[in-house]
Amino acid sequence: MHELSLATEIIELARPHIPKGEMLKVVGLIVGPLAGVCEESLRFCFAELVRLEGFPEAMLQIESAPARFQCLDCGHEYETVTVEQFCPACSSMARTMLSGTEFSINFIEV
Amino acid sequence: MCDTCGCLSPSETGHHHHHHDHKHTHEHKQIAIGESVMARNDEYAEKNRAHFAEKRLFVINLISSPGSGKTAVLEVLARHFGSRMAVIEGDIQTSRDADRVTAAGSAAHQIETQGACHLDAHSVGHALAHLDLETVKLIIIENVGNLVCPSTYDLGENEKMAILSLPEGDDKVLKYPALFHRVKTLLINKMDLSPYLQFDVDRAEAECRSLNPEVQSFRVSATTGVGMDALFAYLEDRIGE
Repeated sequence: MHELSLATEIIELARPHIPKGEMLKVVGLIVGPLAGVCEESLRFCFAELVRLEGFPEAMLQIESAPARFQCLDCGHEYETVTVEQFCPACSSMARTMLSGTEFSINFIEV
Repeated sequence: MCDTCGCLSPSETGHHHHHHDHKHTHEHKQIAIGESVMARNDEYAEKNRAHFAEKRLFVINLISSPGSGKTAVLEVLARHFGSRMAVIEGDIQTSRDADRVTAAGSAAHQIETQGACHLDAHSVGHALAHLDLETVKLIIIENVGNLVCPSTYDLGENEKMAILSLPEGDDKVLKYPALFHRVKTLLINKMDLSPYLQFDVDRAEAECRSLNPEVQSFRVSATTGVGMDALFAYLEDRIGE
């Protein structure tokens, strides 16, 4: 639901990086599974906004970063795209999160 | 292959339905950025955090579904903490929640978000100016009732607290991991309804710990007051530090 705010933010952050006279073509994002972002909704909002902002060709390229956990029982480090997957080595639920909340603009293309 | 438009996949095409001939042969120039999308919000959040630290305030960002009992819990806290507590209320419309908290004994300022589904650090910064913080040690920011959007926005708080109430079901933690992995405290509310509902409290707590091993859980009922003494003690500890 907050994806319209996020899409607005993406355009505002990208804008100063667009060289004069160039058109924004692509915004490359990195999104982790725990960032709380719905990709489909973000694409929808972004497509509408760039049309209004005068960059009708701009689109999002989203790279999904996996979440990384470390098992607190056996120490195994693992990557997962779904938080329902517990330690593949020992099935323990006890774990600490190493990464997964990334939500950044990696690059733009003009 | 997408059924809607025949494109290859959302990640390759951006699901952008072109109405013109778009040949993907342009020479695109790539410019590296490497900036968090939340950067501007985070800047305001850091300002709030510095302000809270300077005034020696302990600040909680309270997040839950609509109807889980956020305001009822705040009324109980207001009766205990009185003028030592102030509340910033985020609601889409009406000042009903702020009125309830004020009647229970703590100052409250309402932010009507006019449709926005979350509070951001900028609006919280402005709300602070409306509160007399002379006697206040504890600020609770009651976020808009929503388990998704508020979790992404740092408001400059010391900790996020979530409320999960029994009628919502014990499966919600892993359904909304973006929130539950960020919370420091979890209130399981409406414990007085446990004879009537199938809610496995151990499961909800264990799943929350699987996202965040340090989470502290409190089993409470804002209606009967059960478990509230432990929450008072926890908060007294925090504001004493």
